[in-house]
Amino acid sequence: MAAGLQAGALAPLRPDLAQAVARLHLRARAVAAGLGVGLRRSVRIGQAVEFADYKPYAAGDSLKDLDWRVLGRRDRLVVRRYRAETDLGVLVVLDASADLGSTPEKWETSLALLASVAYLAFLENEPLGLVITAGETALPRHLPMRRGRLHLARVLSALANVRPAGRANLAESLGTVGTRTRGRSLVALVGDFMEPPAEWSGSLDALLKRRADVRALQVYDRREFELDYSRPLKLRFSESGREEPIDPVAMREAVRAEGDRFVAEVKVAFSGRRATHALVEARADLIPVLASFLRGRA
Amino acid sequence: MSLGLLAPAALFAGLVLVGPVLAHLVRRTPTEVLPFGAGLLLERVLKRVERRRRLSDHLLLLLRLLALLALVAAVARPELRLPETDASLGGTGRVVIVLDHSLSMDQRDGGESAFVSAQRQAAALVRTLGSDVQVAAFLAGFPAEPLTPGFSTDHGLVATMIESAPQSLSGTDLDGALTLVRALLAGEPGEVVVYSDGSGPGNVARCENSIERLLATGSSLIPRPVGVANPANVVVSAAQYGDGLEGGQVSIDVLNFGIEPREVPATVRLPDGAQITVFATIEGATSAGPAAAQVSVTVPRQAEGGVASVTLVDAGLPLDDARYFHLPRVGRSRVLVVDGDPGSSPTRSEVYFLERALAPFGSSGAVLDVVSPAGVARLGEKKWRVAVLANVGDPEGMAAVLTDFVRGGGALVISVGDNSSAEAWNRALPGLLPARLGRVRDLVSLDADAGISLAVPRVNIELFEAFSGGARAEFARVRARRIFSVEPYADDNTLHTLLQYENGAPALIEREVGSGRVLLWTSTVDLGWGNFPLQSVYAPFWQRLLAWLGGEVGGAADRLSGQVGETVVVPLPGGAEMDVTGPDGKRVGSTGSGNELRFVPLVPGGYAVGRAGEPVAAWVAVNTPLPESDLRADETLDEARNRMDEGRAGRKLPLDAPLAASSLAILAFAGLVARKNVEKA
Repeated sequence: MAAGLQAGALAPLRPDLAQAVARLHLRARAVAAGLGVGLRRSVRIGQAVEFADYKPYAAGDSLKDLDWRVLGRRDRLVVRRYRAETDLGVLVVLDASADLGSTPEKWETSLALLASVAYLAFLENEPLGLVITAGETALPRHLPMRRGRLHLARVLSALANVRPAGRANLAESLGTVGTRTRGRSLVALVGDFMEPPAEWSGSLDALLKRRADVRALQVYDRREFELDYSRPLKLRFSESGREEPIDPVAMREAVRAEGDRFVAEVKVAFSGRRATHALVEARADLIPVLASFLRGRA
Repeated sequence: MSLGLLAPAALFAGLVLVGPVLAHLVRRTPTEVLPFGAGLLLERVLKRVERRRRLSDHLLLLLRLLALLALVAAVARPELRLPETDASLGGTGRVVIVLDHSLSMDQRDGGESAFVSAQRQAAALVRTLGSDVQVAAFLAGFPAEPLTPGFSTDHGLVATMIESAPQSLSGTDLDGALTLVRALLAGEPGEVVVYSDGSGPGNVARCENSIERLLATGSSLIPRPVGVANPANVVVSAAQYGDGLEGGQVSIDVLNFGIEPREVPATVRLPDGAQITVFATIEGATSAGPAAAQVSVTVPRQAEGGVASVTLVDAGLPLDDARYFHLPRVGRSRVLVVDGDPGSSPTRSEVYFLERALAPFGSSGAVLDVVSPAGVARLGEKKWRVAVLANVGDPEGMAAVLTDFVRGGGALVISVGDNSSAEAWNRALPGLLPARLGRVRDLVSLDADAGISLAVPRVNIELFEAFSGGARAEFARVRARRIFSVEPYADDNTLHTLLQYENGAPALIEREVGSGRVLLWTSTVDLGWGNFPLQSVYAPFWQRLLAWLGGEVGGAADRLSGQVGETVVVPLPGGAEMDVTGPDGKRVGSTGSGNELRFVPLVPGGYAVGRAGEPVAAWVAVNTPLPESDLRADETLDEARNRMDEGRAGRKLPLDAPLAASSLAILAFAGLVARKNVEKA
């Protein structure tokens, strides 16, 4: 069992699932450790006046919030938290459509990204919520904003339990996300966004109006975007099941150009609406990706 | 121009064409399947390039197939044979022109004839040859003959001779012409240019041996076909007069060698100048052969005998429009009847019964000139072809006249009776009588009711061919009570027993004497010795006998047939010297050798053979050769030449190298297209 997670939190899980959760937790913790920065600064938008509680200091926290008295008396670095800031929840959203699971690399990278963000939220003692769109799972798709290790375990279990399937239907998914946010929230969207932006940009607008800090991580597989196959073959579209025989050599350049166009469309859809978009290759190192993510820029 | 393959077996390599097709299809259906998560991108691309990709795929397949096809064709070593042009002739230094001037070359399609066209082309060719080229010319009508004495470098003269060559009405003799050409070339190579329509069944096939031998010497045969593209010709293939007791009909067989049905007027011209026109409607020819039709023309009751003609109006081949045929004299004939025993009553008079048998209606049938024995001398007037001596007692004074009459072609019928004396007859006419007369023999009592019947005449005797089976049986009703017996004789080439009684006694005996013949009826032709005049066959027998004996003018003459250009042989009885008169009334050159007379007719029509001032001894109906009227070519000279000539005649253009180069070029282009496709995609 991963350090920091109680066995009771994962009691209903099968052993293989528990192992998956542990791997996810370990990877998230390693990513968080590698980052060396906390979630706080990134999500802080303003300060409130009503004290709420303490939390351990983490790199990135403002020294202004350091409680010097506690440091003097107990030699511990803690920072003060105020009521307004506790309203900042972190909602991780997974697009578990079949397209995302077309290659293991895409799927695992997506899970690792969300687990890392969740873990960071846990470390920062931030409320953490989860929304899973599409996919197949035996556990709840939606988890409300909660703090604590046990909640983190639930989130990770839910992530480890889901299997990619079905269509994303991003327009509907983003609407669902909107209903799960309260006030200022950080919404971490992870998926391949393989739907025309025109279809879901309206839902994104609605979400942004709810003052959500939307940060999209678009995961893609370079082999798919460049048709990196050596001989003619049939490609079975994961969502529709349609099979298409292709000559990869003949179509490589066309697909690559179309991929560039599509990524640009998605980027414009997010960036043009004050949301953040980052493109993540399935085999990329996640640490610099998340570092950028936490800084709020792609 | 034709295309040949030097290695046709290599075409089996064409099976490799299946390869690219299969490869193309296999390529389009790969078996490996991978899940794909960027379907949206691919769908967008596919939607954009789908149409273009399909087109380019088909183009690529087509190009690759074309390349392989060209390669396979190159391996088969194709060779294009180009026709020799006028400008390319003369390479061997010796050019021979063969000009077909046979009848069929008169074919035309509204303009000039094929022969005129051939003359013009051949003369133009000769004039374009180099001055050092030797030229000779031959005519290929039947029989083939040289037009020039040999090779000449005087091209202007040869061209003029070609232009002035006459159109022949004879058949085709291409084989003979090529034989003459080979003799002239004497084994050395030359270029033989043949201007011919090649029509007529078998004309080209007969040349195969000559062509092969010609080509074997290194010579080239260059056919220059001339003629109408779709020849149409209607011709009278046969015309025949149908014999009858009184006049008859001319049956005309018409053939149509064209594919269009036709209706053509056919005019029958009789020897006396009368014309009768009928219309012949005939279907078009099919692949099975020409269409045939038959029309009939009724001949007037009286018509002169001789050679008549049927002429069609047909512009396809005007020279064969007339066909000539023999027409016997039709209608009333004059018969000299010598009444040796006028008799006391009609039943005792031969003339009474003969008149009613030969001129039953007064205005038709024969005209009987009845004379006494003294009137026999009138036979010298040459007015009669048939004379009947009825119960003449003693022919002593008439022997010379009768002999001349018979030897000159006349027919003499002798009937006996109570008035006849066997001794006198045997003494006076030993050279004419078919058999010496014996004693009078009573078969039964003379006043008996019945007598001995005639035996039914044999079918193969020409005299009785006109009688049907039932009519011949009627002869058995003829009974005789008394006859003249004859001394024994034997049938031979000049002596025939035409009728006999059931007891074997001769009833009618024929003897050929000179150009004429004598018939002896051994009983009476009245009721004196039998019942013959009362039987139904009496009148038909006499009318038929008269016609058979040459009651018509042409009847006594030989009727021969001939063909334009071919020698006609006329047998001459007794080696007599005779002349031949052509259709235009002019004398035709002939040669005689012993008992034959030979001449070569150059135009169709009726030719008369005989001595001046005497009856015609023989009529010859000369026609154009019927095969020449068939303008359809069963095999062209070009085809025959190509079949026998594997790589020797004409200019040849090997195509293997250009095809191989084309294959490579197409492959390169296909590669370029494929590369463009990748770039465009």
